[in-house]
Amino acid sequence: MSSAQGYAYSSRRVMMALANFNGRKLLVSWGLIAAYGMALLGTGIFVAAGVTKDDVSFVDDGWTVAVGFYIFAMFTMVATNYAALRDRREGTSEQHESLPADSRIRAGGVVLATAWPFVVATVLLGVIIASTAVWLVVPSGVQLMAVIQTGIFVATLGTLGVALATWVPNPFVAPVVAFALFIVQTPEVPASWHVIFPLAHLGSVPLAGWHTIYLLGLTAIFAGIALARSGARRSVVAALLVGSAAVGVSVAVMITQVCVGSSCLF
Amino acid sequence: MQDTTIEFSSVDKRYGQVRALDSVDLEVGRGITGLLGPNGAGKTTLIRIAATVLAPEGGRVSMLGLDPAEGGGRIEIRRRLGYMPQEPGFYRNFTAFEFVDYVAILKEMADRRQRSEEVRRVLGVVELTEMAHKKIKALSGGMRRRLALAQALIGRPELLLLDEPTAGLDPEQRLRFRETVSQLANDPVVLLSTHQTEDVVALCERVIVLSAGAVRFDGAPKALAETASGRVWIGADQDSRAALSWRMGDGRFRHIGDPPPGAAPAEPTIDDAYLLIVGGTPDVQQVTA
Repeated sequence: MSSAQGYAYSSRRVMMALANFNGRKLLVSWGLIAAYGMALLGTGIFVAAGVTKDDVSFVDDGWTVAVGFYIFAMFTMVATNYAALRDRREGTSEQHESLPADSRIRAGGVVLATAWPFVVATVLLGVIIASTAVWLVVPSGVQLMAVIQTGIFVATLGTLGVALATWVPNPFVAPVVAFALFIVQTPEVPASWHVIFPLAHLGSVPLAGWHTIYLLGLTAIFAGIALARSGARRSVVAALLVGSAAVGVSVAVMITQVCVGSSCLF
Repeated sequence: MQDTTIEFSSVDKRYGQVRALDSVDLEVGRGITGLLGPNGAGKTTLIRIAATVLAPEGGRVSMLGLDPAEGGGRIEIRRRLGYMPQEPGFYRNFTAFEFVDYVAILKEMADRRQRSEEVRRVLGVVELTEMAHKKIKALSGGMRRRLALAQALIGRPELLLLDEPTAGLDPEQRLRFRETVSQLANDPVVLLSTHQTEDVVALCERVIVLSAGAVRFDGAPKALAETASGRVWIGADQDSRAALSWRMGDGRFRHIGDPPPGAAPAEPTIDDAYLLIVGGTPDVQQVTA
């Protein structure tokens, strides 16, 4: 279908255009600027350790990078939540209701925009790991998987931010959830259920692969929840079903394969 | 474009116990139509129903030959209309260009280059080209109103709904606004809600007076003024028989209502007629010129 003005209508193209627009805005939002700061801080501490210590390692020193990007993900959630609440905050809901792109497309545009901070986080992590591999220490396969998971975790929390904005449209909720995620500590005594922690470090590449699938499943579920309010369409139902299956299967596999009561989890 | 763009048949809308629209029948076609009425008359409700953001409780609405109650029809109407609400919202941290660009995406303009051209065009129409890259929070109230008009003009809509577009503007800004609306190149159907009679006189070919949710007058502005013919007079003193009277700049009083015997009638204006109608004088209600 096309209009009198000669431009073609496609909800997918509109959603992608919105995602690009929102993604660019997200990258320069105060939330992401704070996220870059935290990632650089964590990386800087690791690099400083490399300069001052002879035997630098990812296990003993690299955790500051992980924490920096963990906080990056939380700031991403706050930023996407803030972006998704924009119409409510600025009173633009009514005028946008008179436009052909409906709330499902608008929400989809913010959900897909989380790809931008995901790409930035993954590229930054890649550069950091490649640089430190040359100058400081070469990461193991499991550690490389952890890098991939950290990037995906940014997308997971980004979509959670949109889902929260859709169902609990209050600007204070996302910061509270972020704070709760930050203070939740992995219990001292390892247990197999700890695999559900977002950045649980599992002992093998296959298990880390399952954990990556788990995070992707969570991302799909949060994306589906974010879009479900505008009506359950096939893509939303598919995201929820595929995400639930991925989470269910990966958790089942991980729980049955990790060691309980030993140090194999952490 | 068909002659009748908006058609309301026995349209009702209530907010709790308050009847905002009471069995309204009207047809709006080519040109600029003014919707005149006091606060609470139902103007904004009517415009919001026309903008498809509000559904009526009774009656039938047809827009551009389509039914807004039906999903596909509603989307097609939205593709072809521009809406400037009474209290437009803005993303204050966006620049003017970014905001209009965002609205253009929501109007399904997915191609970035084509969209940029259109955004530049509408910002030019409202004379905001030089402010395009200023943040909205730095723009004056008048500039924001023009920006709200710019977002409504995206995609050259066939139907333009403007809800009190000149509210809060200073005289110069109002004149600029009138100039912009009157110069719209592609001649869309414009429904302009206002309580400023000067706007109606300056811009509209037709005026609909709405009061208490009902159409009280529907016709040309000149015909509206004529409904007060013989009911306006000027005297040296205040006259208690007048429904309304006020002291003018020259010290005399202008009276509206039934004139006393022998009073010299004055040339009525649209203001006089409007005041008589919304004041509820029974014998000028339900006039159709």
